[in-house]
Amino acid sequence: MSAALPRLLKAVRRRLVATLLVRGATLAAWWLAAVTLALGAVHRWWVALDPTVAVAVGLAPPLVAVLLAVWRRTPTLDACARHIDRVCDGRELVVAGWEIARTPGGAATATARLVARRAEAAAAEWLGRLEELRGPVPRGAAFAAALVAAGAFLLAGPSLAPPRTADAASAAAATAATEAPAAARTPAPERTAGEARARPMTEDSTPGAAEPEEGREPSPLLLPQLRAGVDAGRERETGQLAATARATSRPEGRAEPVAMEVRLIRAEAVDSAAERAAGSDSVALDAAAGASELRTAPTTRNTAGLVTTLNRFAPAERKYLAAYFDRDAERASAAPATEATP
Amino acid sequence: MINTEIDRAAADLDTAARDLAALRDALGAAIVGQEALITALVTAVFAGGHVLLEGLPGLGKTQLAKALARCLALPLARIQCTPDLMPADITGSELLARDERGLERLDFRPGPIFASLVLVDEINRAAPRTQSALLEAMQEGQVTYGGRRHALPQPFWVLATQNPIELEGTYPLPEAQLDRFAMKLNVDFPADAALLALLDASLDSEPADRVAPVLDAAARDRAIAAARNIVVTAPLKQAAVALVTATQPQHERAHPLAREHFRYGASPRALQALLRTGRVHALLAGRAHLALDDLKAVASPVLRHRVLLRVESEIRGLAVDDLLEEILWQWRSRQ
Repeated sequence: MSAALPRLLKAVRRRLVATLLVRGATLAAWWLAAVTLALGAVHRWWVALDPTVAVAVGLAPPLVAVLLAVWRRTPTLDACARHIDRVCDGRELVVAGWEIARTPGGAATATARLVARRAEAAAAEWLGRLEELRGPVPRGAAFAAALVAAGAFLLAGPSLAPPRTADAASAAAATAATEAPAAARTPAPERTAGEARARPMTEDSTPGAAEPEEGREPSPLLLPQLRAGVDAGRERETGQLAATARATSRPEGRAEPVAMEVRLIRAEAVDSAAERAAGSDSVALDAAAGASELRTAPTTRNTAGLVTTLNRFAPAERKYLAAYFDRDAERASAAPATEATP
Repeated sequence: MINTEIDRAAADLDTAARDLAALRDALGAAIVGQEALITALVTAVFAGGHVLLEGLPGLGKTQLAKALARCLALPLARIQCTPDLMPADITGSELLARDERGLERLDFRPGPIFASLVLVDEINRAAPRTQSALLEAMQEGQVTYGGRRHALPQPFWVLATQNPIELEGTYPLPEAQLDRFAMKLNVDFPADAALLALLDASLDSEPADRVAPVLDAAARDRAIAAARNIVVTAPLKQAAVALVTATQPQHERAHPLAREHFRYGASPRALQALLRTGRVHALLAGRAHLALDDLKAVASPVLRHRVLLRVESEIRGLAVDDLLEEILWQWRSRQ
């Protein structure tokens, strides 16, 4: 007796498993499409995401599900025999032949052997028609794949998402960029330490932006980090600051939100530094006091170096603070680049 | 050697299938327009089962029985059932007789039941007591009279007819009696074309009277043996069991329709009849193994008289055949 029937059954089982995989992959593709599109949109317009994490989130659940399905639903050879009979209109010939072949003593009668022989002959013929036994490709597979590609494109592309505080921070940066030179030219009114303490220390740190409430804790100064405009005309700074600025600027030169991190510095520290610096050319901000108040906004990628940098007070920042709080605007504008070590 | 046996088995199957097809054709020539009925009848007969024919008068039930007897070259005994028919009128009775020495003794005179093919016409007109006289004969192939057993000839088939509309003065067959019939066949009204052909064939004489024998005893026995050799695999047995249990309203795998509308489901005897008749159906199709389609083909005639509708369902006008068709459809789709 030839072995056409077992060969046919095993071939059909392989095809059924492949069909199972294709169906599972299609379902997985729909899932993946939904996840990648959603995460891609988030990444693009809301919060920058790590693409590998997004792909892992999108890929892992369906992958596990497909593997489980294949493991649990891999058909037995009996089920394959039934499948062949159903697809090829075998009228249970393969089922009967397979049972006779695998059962000890199954071919006891001449009729049983006749059935086995007919099943073998049919199997030999159907081996050549295996293409008909392939399950149909699920509909929508191509569309799901296209959606996955679109989502992957969004994820892989650059993120246009500013951090949640960055809008205000960048606005403050823009304001400061335009006002700082003016402040350097225009004498600032005399201010006492108390006035400075009462000064609203919001991210919009222009004078008079908001009046503090009585008895309120000093507002943190949201110091926009590395505003190119502030230091553009007075930049004589260290390489560290310049490196940080480069790290945060986009190579395309587009409107990159340069202040991905903000430092929160208590106004008291700034005021006390300004008072100590009264009459001198430099401002020495208490690094320890400031650093203890250091906070960062939600970090994004490419910010590891910035965070490290922000743990120290760079000279340009001190200059900015000095210029801003300086009681003598002319003196500040005349000697803006005095080196000082925190 | 093995190939020779296989070839011989194949030849036997082919011969049996041809013989059955020839019998079917001969009956079809005698009874026009009832091909499905004839196929089912041949199937039941060669499965060794008895057949209950139900139909309106004049549809050829009696002619069909006569034609079958002629085709098989078997004697046909006819019992016309009436309310006053006695069991002894069927089974026979003991008569006082004298032997050559003048001694009196009781001799058993066999009744009409002692024939290979018995036509019990309008069986539901016989009293229940008389109907019950058929029970032992149909199930065990013997008659017990006066404490003595009398074996019936082999083969032994009962073809009973009943009229579905004239219910006055009838005694519906009890479930135990119905269960003895392998199949209940509905004799439908022929189509117009069949009626025209019927006119041509039977205007002046009954075609059944002119039928020549088709199968002799050897061919008949060979066909019966061939049907018994049809391979029935375990999945097919399981499928048959699933079908029978689907009709059992109390069974956990009962079909919802059976739960709702059936009072009783098919019996284990129905399961036997299902496989036996299915094997003949497979033989008629030229196959050496039983297929699901064989079971499906014979299921309705085998089951329809074995399931009992609830009274509420009967009042609602539900038909057993419709419910069985739905159950069969679902059963087949699940296999």
